[in-house]
Parts: sequence; structure tokens; C-alpha cells
Amino acid sequence: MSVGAADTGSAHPHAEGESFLDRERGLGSWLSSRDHKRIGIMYLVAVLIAVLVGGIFALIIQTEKLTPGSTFLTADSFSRLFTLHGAMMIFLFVIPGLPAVLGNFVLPLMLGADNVASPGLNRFGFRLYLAGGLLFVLAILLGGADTGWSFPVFVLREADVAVMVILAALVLLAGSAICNSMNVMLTVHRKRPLEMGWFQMPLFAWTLYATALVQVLASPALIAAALLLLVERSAQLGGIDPVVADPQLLQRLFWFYAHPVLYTAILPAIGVVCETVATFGRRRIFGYRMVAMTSFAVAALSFVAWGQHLVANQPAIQSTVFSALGFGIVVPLTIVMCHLLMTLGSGFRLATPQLYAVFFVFFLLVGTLSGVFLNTLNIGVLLHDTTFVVAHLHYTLMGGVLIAFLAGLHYWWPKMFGRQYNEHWGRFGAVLIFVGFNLTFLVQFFMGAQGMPRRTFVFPDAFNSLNWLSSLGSYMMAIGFVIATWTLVHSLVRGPAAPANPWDGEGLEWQTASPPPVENFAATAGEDVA
Amino acid sequence: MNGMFNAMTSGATGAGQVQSLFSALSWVTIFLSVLVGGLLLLFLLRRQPDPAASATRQEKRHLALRVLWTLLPLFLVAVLFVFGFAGFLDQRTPPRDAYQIQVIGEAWQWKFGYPNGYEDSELHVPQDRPVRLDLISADRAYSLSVPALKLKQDALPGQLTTAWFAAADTGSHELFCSQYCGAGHADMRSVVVVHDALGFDDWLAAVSDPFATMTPVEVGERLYQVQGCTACHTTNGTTVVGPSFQGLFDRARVLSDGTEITVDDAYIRESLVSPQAKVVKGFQPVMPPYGDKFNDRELGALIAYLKTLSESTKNDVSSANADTDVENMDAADAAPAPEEE
Repeated sequence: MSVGAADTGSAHPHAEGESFLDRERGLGSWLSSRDHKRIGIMYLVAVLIAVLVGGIFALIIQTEKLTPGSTFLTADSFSRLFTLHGAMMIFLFVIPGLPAVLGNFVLPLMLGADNVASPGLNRFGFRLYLAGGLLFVLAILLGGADTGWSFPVFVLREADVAVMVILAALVLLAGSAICNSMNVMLTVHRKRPLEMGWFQMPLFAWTLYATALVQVLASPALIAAALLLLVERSAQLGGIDPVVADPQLLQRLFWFYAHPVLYTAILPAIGVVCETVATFGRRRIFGYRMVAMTSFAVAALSFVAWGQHLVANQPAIQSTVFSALGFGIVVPLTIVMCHLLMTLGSGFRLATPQLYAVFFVFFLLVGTLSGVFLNTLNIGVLLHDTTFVVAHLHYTLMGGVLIAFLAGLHYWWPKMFGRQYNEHWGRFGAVLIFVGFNLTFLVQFFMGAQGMPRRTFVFPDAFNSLNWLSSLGSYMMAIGFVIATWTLVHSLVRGPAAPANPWDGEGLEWQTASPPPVENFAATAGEDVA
Repeated sequence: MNGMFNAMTSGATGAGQVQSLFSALSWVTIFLSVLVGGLLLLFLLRRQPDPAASATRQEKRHLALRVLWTLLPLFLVAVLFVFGFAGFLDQRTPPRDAYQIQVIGEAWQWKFGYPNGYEDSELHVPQDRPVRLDLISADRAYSLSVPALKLKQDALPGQLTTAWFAAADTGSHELFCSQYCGAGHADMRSVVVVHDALGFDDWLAAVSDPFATMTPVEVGERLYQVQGCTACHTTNGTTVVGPSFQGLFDRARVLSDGTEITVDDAYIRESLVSPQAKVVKGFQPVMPPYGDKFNDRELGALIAYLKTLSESTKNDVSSANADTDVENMDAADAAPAPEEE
């Protein structure tokens, strides 16, 4: 089954009509496509829409927080906005984003394969994702939910229709994640060229594999939690009613899923950054083997540390064990950061993707260090439910996952669409996002340490100026995102054609045309059949 | 810079450990962030290396460095774990002689129950004495938070949790729910009032037995304000849900069954204990009974307070000492207030 593409290194010139973008036209040809590249791009469009909507919600929240107390939102609409912001960003972007968009498009190309191992499963996964996304739209039209994205205990008694719709969406999205993850693992096992051993694989493939493993194992817990809630609501069996049963049962199920999945969302991000850092530094990543194995260490440790989210209300001994396990994850992350720093230290060419990668290292550092605060038992108790947690999770999920996503998008954009974007505008957008991001969330660390609660617009006057500063940063970041998006979209219309290998990369994905032909590597398609 | 650490400073004795741990960790964090941020900036700004040179360069193994960056964070988090654990046990272990207060979260409100049975919506504590809170929730998961006292603990349905603290200075601090709990979350706020030891005893005695320090009329007025009467009854003549108390006493009213009565002591007492017995025509029978909320003296105090509201409308300034016999209180003619129905 392995495709021997590694030895057919030289790029073949292709006629223009042959690229995967052009061979067939029309929406129907896209929706019915089993081509991993087309599915990857459809995921890209869907994910970007979710991020756009979630981002607009965030800006409304930040605008309300310019002043204390209710300005133009009620407590109810404020709750709905932060619930939808969190739920959409996490379930539609952070968890599926990197594997579904970049993993889908790039992984088979990196392995010299013609497609993922199971194209039909891939298409089914996308349809589940699409259905889940549409249910989110329905939930918004129904007025949205005010439960918070992690669905606390009180959902049981008060959940309205929109909450039920979101829970149904989560079941579909978890199914989609399982399809994707199965495909990633199968593709790595079955589609690798014979010449490529595990330790010759790109690091992006390693990290995708580790994340896929966690998602396959953890997603059933989310499905179980969501179905239990749905059944409980419609039939009132009392199985997870907080009054009758253990009030934490549902929370434990939920975090058993959410903790490892959110932690390992950072792995493909690290993988993307390793790719750009290696390419622009013209060298293999320092300590390649170590980085490859640490991704599995992160996956394993994240899987046993879900109880960190229940510190305030579980027996002290449990909190202690989870704290120790949580600290464990600091070590592999530090190792990764040090290896990236060593690689960066030996010099690199600067380009937009590399700029995002450098920012990523800083964000990952701050995210890890703030995690250490939260994981130190007695400090963590006090910081819980404050904006300190908000800042921490944005440094890891936004500064980590989203920034790496942008690094990867700018890195593989010429490969995806065969167009080069304007480098100056690309860098300008990146710098604005970096500065705006730090302004928005650094101050939230300070406010959180002083007790500023999260998820409320009621706060003491002492926090006025800091909240104002934080909102200002978010506007700046928004301008950065607009510029970055404009730069990319503009390239599709006006950008010069990209060569097959614009960055002098050594990965197999750069050995074929930009954009690639339908069968990825034209010469091998015939061999494969033969 | 100092502001950040002062932020963590607290008015609670015994919170010094968590405070110094937080400061130490903050300095380590700032040091590492500046170090790595500076390195990254250096990498970004320096001249590009010669690609040919880097391609042929011999890869060094940097064994010492790799051991260092594995063991150093391991050591750091081990130390943090130990200190964090010690501090956590301390947070979780109230002293035996602690003053005990029950905390109930219900319908987005805090209720604090004191050892003598008195309940209040505010948390009052004595200075410099360990206070132990036993928290429970009647409906959903809340979290009690007082940043100034470094106090945070969840209040859960069906599961008792405890927390303790000792306030170092007198004064008041903000208290709120820190865990998002639905519609009323933002308004689930109260205050902690720290009294000196004597002041606390005085406060508790005063609120537990208001008659010791207040005249019955004052007690009645306070009961009217804190027991929820204001939601339905005004004192300015406007009708909200129930009749206004202005000029109500001694007034002739028609009941829903057509009988005519005069509002007197007995009628008010009956209306408080079993409100549905005689409802004035035009009003809904929606008032809950207050018989088990007020004792006899308190009922008397309320009646005395109501009487003053009728006197003031008639500009009659005869004193209303309600602890004395109120029967002979003279009220000339029917109340002038217009009929609402």
C-alpha cells in the first residue's frame, strides 16, 4: 500500500488545468470530493467562519468591559456571548482546527502519498463537522446558551432547547474528530513510503499522530457526557442529577475528555512550528528524536490529569495527585521550547510564517509558566475563576494553537493555492496581532491576581483602567487579523504565482507543483496502479 | 511592579506562605519571560547567517545543556509542588477553636448562619480570630470568593465544603461568587465586615436581639426593610402588589367577601400570620404567611411601625411607643388615602 514517492523527488511541470483546484468546478464537485486537499480547504473555510463569528463575540464582550457594570449588554446576553465565544472557538476551532485543515491538506503530501488512507471516512468526517457547525448556527438562532462552554452542573435543570442543540452538535463534532484521527493514524501507518522510518517522519506528522491517539481515546467520553445529558433532560432518569447522584459525575466525564484534548491541541501547533523553524533555519530541528518523543509524553501525561479542573471541590488527596501529574507536563514542554530556542539560535531567514513561529515560542513559554501558577495547589485555588485563568488559556489556545495555525497557513498557503502573498503586509499583520495579544491578556494576569472574576462585567472601579487597556489590545489584535486575512485573500486575486518550493523546504510536500495535481505526485500515480 | 505583588497581599493572617510563594514564582516567571523574550528578539534582529555555512556545520550534542534544561524545570516544579501542597493542607485545615459560620448559597444569594441561629445576608466576623465556614448550596454550584482575605471555596449542592481564614484588620471587603452560576451570577455579591472582638459581640447581640438597642418602632421599620416587605408594600401611598402602608392603620376596608372591617391591631396581626384569611377587595391572595418568621414582639413592633405611618399622614405627632398598650391609640376619622381598587 505504501507509495514510493520519496525517490521521485524532482517536480514535474504540470499543465495549469491539472491542479486539484481546477480539474472540476462547482460547489457539488467540492462537497462530493474525496480528495484530502479539497476537504482540507473546505475545513479551512468552515473553521475560518467559526473563528470570525467567535472573534466578533469576543470583541463585543471586550467592548462591554470597557466600563464596569451593564453598558449595552444585560447579564443574560453577556453570558450567552461568552458561552458561544468559548464553545465555538474550542469545539469548532481549537480541537479540530489544526488536524482537520493543515493535517488534512499537508500530511499525505508530506508522506508522498496520493491521499489519506481512507478518503471516504475523511469525507464523512467533514460532513459530520459541517452538520455540527450548522447545529451551532441553529443554536445561535435559537438565542444561544448561557451555560458557559464547559456545561456546569446546573445545566441539568435549566437547559433550554439551544443547549440541547449544542449538545447534539458536540456529539457530531466528537464523531468527526474520531473519523479524522483514525485517518491520521492509518495514513501514518499505511501511506508512509517504505524508505521513511518513524524517525524520518516530519515532526508535524509525529505530533498529529499523538493528538489523533488522544482524540480517538477521549472523544467517546464527550459523546457519553452529551448523550447522558440529553437523555437525562428528556427522560429524567436521575442518573446524573446532581441532587440524586454525585454532583461531579458529569464534570469528571467532561474533563476526562476536555483536559487531554485541549492539552494535546498544542502538539500539532508545536509540529507546525518545528516545520517552519527547520525550513527557515535550513537545518533539521535540534534534538529531533527528543522532540518527537516528548509529544507522546505530553499526550500520556495530559490523559491522567483531568482532575486539575476540580481542585476546589474534591478530596485533598486527589487534588494533590493531579497537581503532581500536572507539574509533570511542564518538563516535556520545557524541553520542546529549549530545543526550538536552540534551533532558532543558529540563525534563520525571516518570513511571515517564521515570525509567527517565533511569537509562538514566547506565547508557549508564558502559557506554560502561568500554568505553573495554576497548578501550584494553594495559589491555584485563589486564581481559579479569575481572569488569570482566562489569560492562561488564551496564551496556550490562542497564542499557542491559533498563532501556530497562522504560521502553518502562511507557510503552506503558496502550496495550497499556488499564490504568493505580500510579505510586508503579512509581517505587519503578525506584529499587530502579537502586540495586541500581549496587551489584551498580560493585563488579565495582573487583574486575576488581584481577584478580578472572570465571566462578569461587574467589577470594582479599581479594575477600570486595566480592563480598558485589555479591550484596547483586543481592538488592535482585531486590526491585525483583518490585515492578515486581507493579505491572504488579496493574494488569491492579485498574488504572483508561487513556485513549487518557495521556501527551499526539504519536505516532500515541496517536491510537487503549487497547487498540487489531484493525485499529488503525478509521476507516482501511474506506478501505484501498476 | 510592586503593585502586582501587593495585589496578592491580603488582610488575612496566616496567608503569608501563599503570598511569598506567589511573589517568588512571579519573579522566576518575569526572569524567564524576559530572558527568552530577549533571546528571541536578538534572534529576530541579528544578521542572517550564511546558509552554506550552517548546512555544513557539524551538529554538536550539547549534552550538558540538555541535562540542565531537563533537570532544572523538574527541580523547580518539585519545589513548587511541595510548598503548594503544604500551603494547600493549611488552607484546608481549620483550627479547632475556629468560630463557625454556616454558609448557604441559594437562588444567587448568600446566607450566613451564626452559632446562635441568627441569619444574615452579610458575613460579619471578629478580627484576628480563625473563622471556619461550612458551605453548602441549595441549588447549583457557587463559589464564595473574598480576594482581600485570600478566601475561595465552592458551595456545592449536596456536598459540604469548608474553608477558614483569620482577618487581620477591621473594615469591610467585597465578597462575590467567582464561579459562573447562571443568570444571577454577576449580582451575587455581598460584603465581609470585620469587627474588633468586642464590636463583633455587640453587633451579633444587636442584630440577634434588636429590642436591646432599638425602640419597637425602629425594629419594626428595620423588619419592614430587611424581610422583603418592601417588594409589595410601599410607605408612600402607591400600590405595588399589596396595599401601601401609608395611612393604612385605622382605615375602613371592604374585604373580598363584601364584609367591612377596620384595620386594627388584630387585623394586621392576622394578616401577617395567615394573610389569606381576610383579603381586601381588589388584591390577589398572594402573600406568604409570616407567622414563623416573626415572634410576638416582632409582630408588635411591625404594628407599631405601621401606626406611625398613619399618624404622619394626619400630622399627628403623638409618640408611638408600641411596647405599651396600643389599643387606646386614638384615630379620628377614616383614612384620607384614595381607594386603589
